[in-house]
Parts: sequence; C-alpha cells; structure tokens
Amino acid sequence: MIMLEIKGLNVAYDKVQVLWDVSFNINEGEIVTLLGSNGAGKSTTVKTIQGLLKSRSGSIRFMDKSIGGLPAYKVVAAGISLVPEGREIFPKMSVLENLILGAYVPRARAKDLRDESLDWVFKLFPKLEERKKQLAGTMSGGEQQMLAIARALMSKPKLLMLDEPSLGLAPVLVLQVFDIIKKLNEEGVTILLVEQNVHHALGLSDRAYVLEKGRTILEGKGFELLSDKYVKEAYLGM
Amino acid sequence: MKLDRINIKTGIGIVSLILAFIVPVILGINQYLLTVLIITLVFIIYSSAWNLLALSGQASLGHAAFFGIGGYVSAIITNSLGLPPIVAIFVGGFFAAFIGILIGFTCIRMREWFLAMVTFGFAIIAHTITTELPWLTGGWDGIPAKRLISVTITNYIMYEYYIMLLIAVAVVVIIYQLTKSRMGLALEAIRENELEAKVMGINVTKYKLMAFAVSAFFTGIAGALEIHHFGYITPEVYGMDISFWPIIYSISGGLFTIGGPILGTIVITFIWEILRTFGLMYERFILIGVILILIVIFLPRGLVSIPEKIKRSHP
Ligand SMILES: Nc1ncnc2c1ncn2[C@@H]1O[C@H](COP(=O)(O)OP(=O)(O)OP(=O)(O)O)[C@@H](O)[C@H]1O
Ligand SMILES: [Mg+2]
Repeated sequence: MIMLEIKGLNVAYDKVQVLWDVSFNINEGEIVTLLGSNGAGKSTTVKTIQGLLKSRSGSIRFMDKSIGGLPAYKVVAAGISLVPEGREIFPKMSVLENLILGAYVPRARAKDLRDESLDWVFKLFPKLEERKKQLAGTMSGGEQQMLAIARALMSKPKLLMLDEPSLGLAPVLVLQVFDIIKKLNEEGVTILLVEQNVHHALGLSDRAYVLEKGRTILEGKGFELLSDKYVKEAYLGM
Repeated sequence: MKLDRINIKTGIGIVSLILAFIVPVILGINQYLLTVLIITLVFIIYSSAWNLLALSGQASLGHAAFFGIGGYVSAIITNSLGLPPIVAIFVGGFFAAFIGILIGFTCIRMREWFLAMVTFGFAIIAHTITTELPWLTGGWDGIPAKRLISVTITNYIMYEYYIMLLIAVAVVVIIYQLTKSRMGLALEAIRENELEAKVMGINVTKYKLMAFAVSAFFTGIAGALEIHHFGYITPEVYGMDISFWPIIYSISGGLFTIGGPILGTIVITFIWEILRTFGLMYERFILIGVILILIVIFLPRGLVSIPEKIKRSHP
C-alpha cells in the first residue's frame, strides 16, 4: 500500500527553482533511500514533505490524504517525523527535555503514552537513559545524533525521514545508526533515508531514487542500484 | 542538591512576600516609601511581562508602546465613560494585547535585530500618533487620569499599595504557571531553535503571537496602573528609558527566570533611590551603568544566580 506519494513537485527558493517535477512514492513498511550529490535537492525534498517549505506545484499525499501546503506541526501530527541534517537539537536543554519536546504533538503527548515512548527509545539508545539529565549540547556528536533520532521517534511517527544521519560519524557509529534504522523498520516504522553513504544505505533499502539537479533520474531496488552503472560511476567511484 | 536550591529560593520568595504585606504595618504609612514601592510593583509587572516575550526569543526594544497604550486607553475611558480605574486597567491591557498581536504578526519571521528595530520604531510611532491627536490624548500636555484610590480617602496610598501588590502577585503567579505549562516549553524551544521547534510539531506562529499578546496585556496593565497612581498621563510614557528599564531589570536580575525581573527591579530601583537621596541626580546614571556592567561580567545569569555561585564556591 502506498503510504507517501509525491507527484510533480516543483520547489523554489525565491526565484531559484531547485526541484523539478519530482515524483516518487513510499510503500508502507519500506525503507526507501534518496540518493544524490551535494546540492541535488535532497534536503529540500524532505523539508517540503515536512511542511517547512512550500512547493510551487505538485501534490504530496500521505495515507490517502493531501498534506501539501500544511504547516509543519500538522504534518507531524499526521505521523511524519524528520531528523534534520546536522543534528539539530536543543543544546541548552537536558536530554530528557529534548525527548519530551519530541512528544509535543497531541497524538503522543499523554503522560502514559510518553512514558511508553521513553521506554522504547531508551531501549534503543541505552546511553541516552544514562545521560538523561545532561545538557544536550555537552554530549558528543554521535550522542547528539542518537538523541536527534530518539527525539523524532517520541512523536510515534508512521514515516520517519532521516537527512544524512551518518554524516560526520565514526565508522562504528555509522554501523550503529544503520542497525537502529533496520530495527525501527522491523518494528513497523516506514523509513525515508537521505544518504551519501551509498553502500550502507542501498544495502539496507528496499528501493532507492536518485536525484540529480533537482530531478528524479533513476529508481530501483536497493541492491540493483548498487550494481547500476550510473550509480557506480557517480557515487562509488568505480 | 537541586531540591534545597529550590527551597532556598522559595523561602526567600515567601519571606519577601510576607515583608511586602507588612511593610505599611511596621514602617507606618510613609508616603515616600509607599510611592517608591508602588512604582517598584508596577515595574515588577512590566519587567516580568517583557521577560515572558524574551523567553520566546523575541526581545522587544519598544515595550513602552504597550505601556503607554495601556495607560492612555485606561485614562481615556475612565474620563469619558466614567469607568472605575480598577476596571479600566484591564480594558487598557486588552487593547495593548490586541495591538501586540498586530505587531507580533509583523515580527513573526524576524530575528533578533530586525525584531528589535521594529518594536523600537513602533514605540516612536505610538508616541507620534499620541501627540498628533490632541482632542483625544491632550497632545504634548497629556490628560488627567482618575486616581486608583481617591486622594480624599485617608491612607489612600496604603490601599493603592495593597491593590498593586495583589495585582503584581497575581501577574507573577500567572506568568509562572504559563512558563511551567506546555506553552512555556514551546516558547523555550522556539527560542533555542525555531526550525527544530517546528519539526517537533510546535505551532510556532501561534505561540509567538500568544507570547506577544500576553506580554503586551500585562505591560498595558502596568502602564495603566502607573498613570492611575500619578493621576495624569503624558507622551513621556513612550520614552526610550521606559522601554529600556524592563530590559535592564530582567538582565540584571536573571533573564528568562521568574525571580530575575522581580529581584532586578527591586535591587536597581532601591540603589537608584538611595543614590537620589544622596543628591546624585545625574551621577547615578553612571553608577547604575557601572553596576550593570559588573553584573553582566561577574553574574551573567543575573542576581538570582548568586545562591548557586556561593554554593559552588563553598561546596
Ligand atoms: N535557503 C536556501 N536559499 C536558497 N537556496 C537554497 C537554500 N537552501 C538550499 N538552497 C539551494 O538548493 C539546492 C538544493 O539544496 P539541498 O540542501 O536540498 O541539497 P542536498 O541535496 O540536501 O545537498 P547536500 O547533500 O549538500 O545536503 C542547492 O543548490 C542549494 O544551494
Ligand atoms: Mg542536504
């Protein structure tokens, strides 16, 4: 069943158009990766889905409802959560406060639901429970990334979008992040992954789309794209 | 450890509150002292209101506009409709809140300096409009405003003091409750990282406007209370100094805290008045300036952080 359907999306910053007629879809339960070189428009795409940017034209449908043009807080309430690029956290708040903010939407805020979600994310990220009281800004880069993911989960998303979650992490941590993504998916969370770490991402994904200069130019099964000539040349340097 | 720190602060709060209530009893009805205390209470309300807006990351440099609007509206309707001041101050507050929402709308997408300039300019506009409407506002000369308590009543100043005290306590309690509520959490998140706040599902526009409305409401009430105490209002209420005092009080007391604006207002006002009794009318500007610089350098989190500082140096 199609969970998210993007059709003919055109997005511009002021006068500079950066997304051209972008279309793709994500089925319930899938992990889909969005590949593309720097400046291809990946972040723009996920921000537009989240409601942080307005599209010029095109449609965004989520669980059979149009969410195009809705403000971000309504998109979160509908069940989409974003882990933005570059570990954006609330640095002067404690880890716990960060997580509580993650459960801000009506769907997730009830005390018992929130405690349940806390248990869930603490099980996924035991380190965060130890660091509960620490100021988020004083944690290491890797821990902050874990917090950013955990916080996005606090809203109990049906679709989780991660914008380059492995960026700047040590190899061990990269593996850990991909493990977590896999685990989440097995627990029923549908995933849209933006990645430059092509090998790992494609190995994990059901399907992937390649975005170039703001256009979707390729689509395929994860492992198929790994052996695709274009992808090999452009991203794997082979 | 966190617990006894809270206890120290609550303790100090309760003791000061009791002191505030018995001051007229122990020191007698001292007209001068009670006048100073009344103005202090007005500015406690005003600074707490300014600080609430600052909590949402919106630092206003023109809050005198709301202070003055509250004052003028309240004065005008008591004069023309004969409403008692104690009712009119709330009308003044609502009017200020309404204007606050309009200003808030223009500021929604602005950050720091731009927002500061818009609010600053707004105070100038409010001043100009007021002086240009003499039939309504009395122009440069201003208009009389009914006293909160008629001066013909014996010990009227004491009654005035108690009314101000009750309103100030109520305002501080309401602001405290707001900051502890979901709204407070949202405002803090917006201040720290607005984009992130949106991603968390917070309706940023709504909360920024609410902060503007509530802040302008209490500021308008403070302005109205002040002019009903003085018995008149002139365009001087829009002065730059009136915009800057709540900032000075909040920063010196402790930005984004509940106790900060209260403590800052009390301490700075008392130093200000003591300097005056020494005859230092102009020198006191310099001295206050020096004190502010010292506080910012040595107590960046304001006077309210003194207990923690002491605790840390004597563990
Ligand atoms: N706020 C903005 N204003 C103007 N142009 C922007 C803005 N943000 C992004 N762009 C431009 O839009 C294009 C797409 O940017 P985007 O951030 O979506 O790329 P990306 O695929 O996420 O790249 P990266 O892999 O480097 O993160 C780029 O050319 C970028 O310069
Ligand atoms: Mg990007």
